Amino acid sequence: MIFVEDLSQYLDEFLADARDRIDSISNAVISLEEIVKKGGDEREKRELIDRVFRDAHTLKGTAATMGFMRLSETAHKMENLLDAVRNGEIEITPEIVDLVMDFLDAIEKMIYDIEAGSGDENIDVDPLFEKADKLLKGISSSKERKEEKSHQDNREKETTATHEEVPHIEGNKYHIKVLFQDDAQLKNVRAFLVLTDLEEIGEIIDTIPEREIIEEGNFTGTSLEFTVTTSLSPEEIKKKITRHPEVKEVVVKNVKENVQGENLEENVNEYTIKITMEKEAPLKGVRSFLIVQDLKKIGNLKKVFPEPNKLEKEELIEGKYFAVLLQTNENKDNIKQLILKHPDVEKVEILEGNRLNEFHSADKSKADKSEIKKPTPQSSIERKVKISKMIKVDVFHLDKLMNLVGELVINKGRLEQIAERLGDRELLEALSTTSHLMTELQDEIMEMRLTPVAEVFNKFPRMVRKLARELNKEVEFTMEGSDIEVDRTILDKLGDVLVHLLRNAIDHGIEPPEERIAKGKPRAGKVELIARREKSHILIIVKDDGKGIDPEKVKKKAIEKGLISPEQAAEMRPEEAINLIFLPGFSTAEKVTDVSGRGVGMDVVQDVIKTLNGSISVKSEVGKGTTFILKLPISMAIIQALLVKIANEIYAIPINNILETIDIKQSKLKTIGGKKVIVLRDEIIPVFMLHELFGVGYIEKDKFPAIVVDLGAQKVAIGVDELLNKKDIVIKSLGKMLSNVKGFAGATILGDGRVVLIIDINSLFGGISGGL
Amino acid sequence: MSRKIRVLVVDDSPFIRKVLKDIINSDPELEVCCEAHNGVEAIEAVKTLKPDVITLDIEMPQLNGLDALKFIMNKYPTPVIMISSLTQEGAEATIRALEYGAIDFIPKPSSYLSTGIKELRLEIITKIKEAAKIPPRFLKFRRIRLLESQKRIREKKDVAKSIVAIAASTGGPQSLLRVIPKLPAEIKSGILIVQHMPPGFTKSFAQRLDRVSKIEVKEAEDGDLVEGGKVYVAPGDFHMEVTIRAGKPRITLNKKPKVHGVRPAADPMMISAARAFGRKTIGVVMTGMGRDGAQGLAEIKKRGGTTIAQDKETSIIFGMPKAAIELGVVDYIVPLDRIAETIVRAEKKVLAG
Repeated sequence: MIFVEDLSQYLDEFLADARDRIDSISNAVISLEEIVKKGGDEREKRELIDRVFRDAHTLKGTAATMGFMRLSETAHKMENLLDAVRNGEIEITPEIVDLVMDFLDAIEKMIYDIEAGSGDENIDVDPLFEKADKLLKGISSSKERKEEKSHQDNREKETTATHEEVPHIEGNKYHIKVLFQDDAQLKNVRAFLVLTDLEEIGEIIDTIPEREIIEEGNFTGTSLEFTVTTSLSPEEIKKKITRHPEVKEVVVKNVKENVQGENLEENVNEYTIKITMEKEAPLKGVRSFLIVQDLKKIGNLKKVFPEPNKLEKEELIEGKYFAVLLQTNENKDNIKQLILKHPDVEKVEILEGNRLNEFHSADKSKADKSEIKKPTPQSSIERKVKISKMIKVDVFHLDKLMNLVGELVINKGRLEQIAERLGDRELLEALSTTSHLMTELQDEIMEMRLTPVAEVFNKFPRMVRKLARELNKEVEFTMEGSDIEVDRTILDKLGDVLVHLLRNAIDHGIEPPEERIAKGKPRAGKVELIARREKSHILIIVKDDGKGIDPEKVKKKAIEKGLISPEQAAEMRPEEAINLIFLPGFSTAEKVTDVSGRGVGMDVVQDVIKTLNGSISVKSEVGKGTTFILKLPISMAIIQALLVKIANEIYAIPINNILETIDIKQSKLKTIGGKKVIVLRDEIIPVFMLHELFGVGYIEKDKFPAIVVDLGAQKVAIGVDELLNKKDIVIKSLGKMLSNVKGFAGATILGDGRVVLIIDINSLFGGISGGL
Repeated sequence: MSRKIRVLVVDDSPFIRKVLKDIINSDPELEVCCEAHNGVEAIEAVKTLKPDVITLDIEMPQLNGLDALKFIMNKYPTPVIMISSLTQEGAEATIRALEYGAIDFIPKPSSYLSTGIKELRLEIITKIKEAAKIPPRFLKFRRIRLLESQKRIREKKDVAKSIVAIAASTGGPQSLLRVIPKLPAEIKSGILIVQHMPPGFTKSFAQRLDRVSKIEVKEAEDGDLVEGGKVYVAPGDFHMEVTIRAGKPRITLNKKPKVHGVRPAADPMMISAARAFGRKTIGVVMTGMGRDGAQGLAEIKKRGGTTIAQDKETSIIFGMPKAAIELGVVDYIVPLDRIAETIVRAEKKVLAG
């Protein structure tokens, strides 16, 4: 049993929640800015403002709950700011957005400090508070005045209201029409809430459909109509109703007393509908009754002929039809559809206006006065809402689970050996089933570790916006494929890489607005971040439409830095030249800005990607833009590897690194500058024996197998004794003790329990690449 | 041991949900049967899983707590406890929720509450258990009006000649909102109310009462002169007493130790009122858990005053009135909607004689 003694045990939950809120606020605020700039949808704008406000509010609350008062205060101040935006007292200008972003930065720093254990007191938020106060001060005086006025207004109203007595409401009579969005999911709930809201501010005289239908939560139509007496103004009424989501439109019209009883709205039509049932159909009375109930939901059913209770007893005219007079704003087709949904309807005729008299003469015979209790109206089909069945699990547990499965595999191997020895068929069969189950278990755990890239992507809109403003550039940033999932470990490392690439794109890629205009490009540069799934890989693409990478400049720089010789440069194709940016210590920036910084270059990016068993490539066209493509495995924990053997030891090489496998004849080996090479399809490729790299002795053979790997700028062939099979392997860390050992990415355990080292091609050649 | 009380926790913050869930599940008689992170999910969960009690947050996306409450109380009546943030808006929304039909509320778990987390845990668990026992007749959607009541502005305020001291706890706010508005503008007594509520909420509650009543209602301040036809609500975290100073009845607020675990408590208020006004004191004990007010009524009775208790049928929780009745110190046991008229009649009686 858990006893909740203090809240510190919830710190992780709090931090995760807070970070989500920060991302949510920043993205919503940026979207808002966009909408304001482009003059977008009012409704979307309002929803975004509501969301931002709510997030700030929750952040404030949870921070207070945890006792982080400084953080709570800061969130509170931001909430005030957003509240003013929500009330329309402050316009959303880039300055306001900047300020909100500054608030978020401060909050994020506090969160960081809290996580690091130093509390939320170290961030100086006073300048931010001052800025916010200044902005809020301008509006508060006018707000007070407004409040004072409304207070007076209230005093003037001569109403006495208590819970018991229904007071006589002074005011105007309005006809209110509420239209819901086509895709509204909760119309029945919203309709009920609109009704209760109106009840609170006035007296409802009439509704379409019938009040009972709305109250029971059975409303299914697309529009609601009310006639209400209230002292509120049409704008106030409108505001009350539009606070509900999914409301598309509200029309409030003043109704003059003398037109009461007339059609309230021009587009409300009156129809006489004749519905003929199949003569032989059983239950036609009940069916008719249900049709009547349905019609009540879409409008004002003024008359039913014969009366509903007769209908129910199958007293139809000529034994087969009945007629109704309906006031509705639905069109004829919709009405017809609604009726034809019912079985056993033979014919529906819809006539405009009141033509009911034509039917009266037809039925004078039967008269029955007995009353029958109405069955309850057919309840509408309510939408199923999915309840979140998600739970949060610490990655630690998943790692542990994965390890345990690894252990299981080892044990299974031992069991298999024992079973072999005993020669027990039954035992072997049981073990075979177990191994299937284990594979499934592995897949399941892998699946659990997958996280949507959104978790990292969500930070970027804010970062990009901030950067662009700092550099006086205009950037239109779009993201795609945020829902693509990838292993947690990969995602964690991916963040920094993408930050670097995006910064480069904005800092070095996108030109200043004036320059772009001069070049005939749109003022705002385009930066795209795209995630895409491709079989067992994901592609992440960072694309800009900036000035591109100039191969000549790259070559010049590389020569200056002594990375290549002028001769080498002369021979290089443009695509090759661009790849020089991945060399350590290369930076193409003409000026060093604090954005991309010094020292961290593309080589670091490449290193990170390679440790993830991925690859990075770049395409660029001068004047048109640059595209970086990252190819990453979906899961780090389990990869495909080729097993090779040297000196009776088995090693695993991740298949991602391997271009091809070849057989090398000793006779084809050539020596250039004391190094062995082979010519493969007109390309000179250095050849290394894995034995040499590991420093174990080997006997030269006439023929040996080799794998060809790509080291970025250079291909290399690695000779081994024997190529074994391709296998899915579970990567296990070598542990802290061995973390400094170069050349290995980890270890894995084979089915038979043997431990095999996984070769990390890049770090393996790290030591000798200078000599290539 | 019968089956556990199944609780639906509705909150948009996973963090708060976790805290509440741990607190609720820590009690052997309670279990969280499901969680929802907005009103939409809450309605669906209530419909399909029929929880015994719901804890409901107010600010939520898609469908907020108040709206969800209205729909739930109308369609699937269930005891609801609001989880309220300690802000002015939070307090106002909470009072509104109680009027719509929520049973009770608890402040959002917070490190800076005056009560520690241990006490809060106890409060949450006790309130959920009490809520689960509420008879179905109290579970329904109640419609309210937001229009303000017109007050007759009195030219000259008179010092109160008699006093009405009212005690209420769980179910009190919604019940008092059906008593105070019925009091006539001509009432001559000063009216003191102790409603067990945290600071902040008492102010919003007083404002809401003021808006719908014919007489003025305010949150009491230290030193207030007790005037006739005016209602004084004891502020949260203070005991409220009335004393005669320089011949005039005045309010004193103090932070003396909690009585029955609460502050404000009704007993000190009633005892001080009985001492100041003697037989011109009318004591009323309304719905609520515990036994606060019983001692106070006894003191009023001892000094010749009149005592009233709400009856069992209309008390959301028949704890405090029951304690007073069992003590044998109650003159009138009346249903909720007759409390106001009983007060008026009692006032006539004490002022005449």
